[in-house]
Amino acid sequence: MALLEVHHLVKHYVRGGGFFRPPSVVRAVDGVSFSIDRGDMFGLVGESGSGKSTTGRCILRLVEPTSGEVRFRGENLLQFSKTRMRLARRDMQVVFQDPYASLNPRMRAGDIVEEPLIIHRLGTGVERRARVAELVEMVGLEAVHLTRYPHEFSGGQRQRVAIARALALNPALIVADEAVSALDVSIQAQVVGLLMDLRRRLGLTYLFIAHDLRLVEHICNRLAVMYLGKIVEMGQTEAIFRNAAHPYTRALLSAVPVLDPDAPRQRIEFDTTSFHGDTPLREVEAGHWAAV
Amino acid sequence: MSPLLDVQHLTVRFESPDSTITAVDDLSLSIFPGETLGIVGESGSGKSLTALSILRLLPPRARVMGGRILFEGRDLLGLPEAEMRAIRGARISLIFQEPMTALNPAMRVGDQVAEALTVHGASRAEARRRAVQLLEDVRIPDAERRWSDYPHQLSGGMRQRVMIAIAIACRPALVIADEPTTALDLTIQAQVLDLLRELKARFDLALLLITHDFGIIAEMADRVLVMHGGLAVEHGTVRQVLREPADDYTRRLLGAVPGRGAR
Repeated sequence: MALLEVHHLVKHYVRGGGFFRPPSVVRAVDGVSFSIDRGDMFGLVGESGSGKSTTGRCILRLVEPTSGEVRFRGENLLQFSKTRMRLARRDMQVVFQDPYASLNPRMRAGDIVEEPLIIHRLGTGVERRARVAELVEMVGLEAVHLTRYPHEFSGGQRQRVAIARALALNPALIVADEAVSALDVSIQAQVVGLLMDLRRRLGLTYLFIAHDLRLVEHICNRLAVMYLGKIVEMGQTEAIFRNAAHPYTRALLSAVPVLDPDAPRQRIEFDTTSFHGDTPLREVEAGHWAAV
Repeated sequence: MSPLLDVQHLTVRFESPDSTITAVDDLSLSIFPGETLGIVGESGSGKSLTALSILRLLPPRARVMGGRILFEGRDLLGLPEAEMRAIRGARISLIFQEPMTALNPAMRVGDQVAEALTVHGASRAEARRRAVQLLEDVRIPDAERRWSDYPHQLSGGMRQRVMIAIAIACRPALVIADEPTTALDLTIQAQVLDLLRELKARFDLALLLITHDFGIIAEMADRVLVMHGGLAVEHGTVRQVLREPADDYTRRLLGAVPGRGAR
């Protein structure tokens, strides 16, 4: 059974409008549907303005969607009350791109990791501290790091603190929103290694939001490609890389720099004026969908 | 043929009352006319400081402690500031990662391109005429109309094209591009790299391309220098370094590049 099912998710922003001017509507997310099975590493890729991050935020109701359904373990999160949603968030955590912005600079790492347990009133002080020690070890940090402030960490370590905090409540789903994009490649590889390792050890499911196709190819088993608020292609990662069907996906793949200086370069340009967004997804091969 | 730029034993240090950090350590490199040299490294490797040293634009606390930077036969480190200004932007120009911070937000983009020409002696009418041509050279559609846009009205890719137009305005011999596409989307990055390659051939530019991305090196550079902790750990033709990396750090860096090439 799918852990997360997103049906026809829409987020429109209405801007401006005046006496004689009709307001304009930005269709940030425009009818997005996909589902993620337990244990999946599901990649949501796209360029800026594609709506990939807004989709992630709508799923967690960090922004309220305009319409649609987000079913988590079969229940529609969008109908939950605020209180019920707060409880549901225990099970779904987010890791952002820039832990420097998302971690409280005045709190020590140990307190940052412990805070979700306090908010949800879990355990006694002793139990919480034991849990923090376990989490910190799990993400590859050491006990000495607990008393340090975010600015005392390197970027990779800060991201590990953010991951430990996200894991504190034992979630089933992690939304990783460009979680490793800002890191140097060697550090990126380590943090990706950690995410993969945690997936295996804890049976986590990931929604991995990213712009870097090389990264996604490497770690996600399924992926969806977004363009201007729509999913234009979706399927097994391997199938999409082998046999991309949508012209935008093809252009995106052809833009990836290849490590081989002798590789033939065939840049495929995507004609943006050809995109109207009204072509429905159809199955081009088993389990591989494209809006063509 | 003698090199256009010949950096010999460059050492740059950050000094404060209680610590000294060697950011660039005895670095030597050379670039021949029309050639692309890539410098690849992670943050803190010293790659950007190397570029800033060449232009003598180091931040206040960083100092060149030794070495020579020979450009067209002259040691830039010994030039009076006035002569350095005549080289900067005219013979050697710089493209930054973030055009939004490098461009003046309160000035029309056309005027900014024209300014690059007038500071180096062009008349205003001449500058205006050539600036339109430059905006066309960097493939900004509808250049006449775009002239009067402010930077915030342009997309990231278009802003970077304006930066490139400014960089090539005076027909420099060397363009230093420091992470020129890092802030851009992948498809836009591909377009900007294609543009750089085209302009390089057309105007016979030498390019010093600084990046963290080995994929970009593979696409763009003739030779590559790998920097780590201020040191040049490996140096060779791109083919040689990618096929048979000799240094441990280079191998690790290549191994960490996700996806396709790494397999």
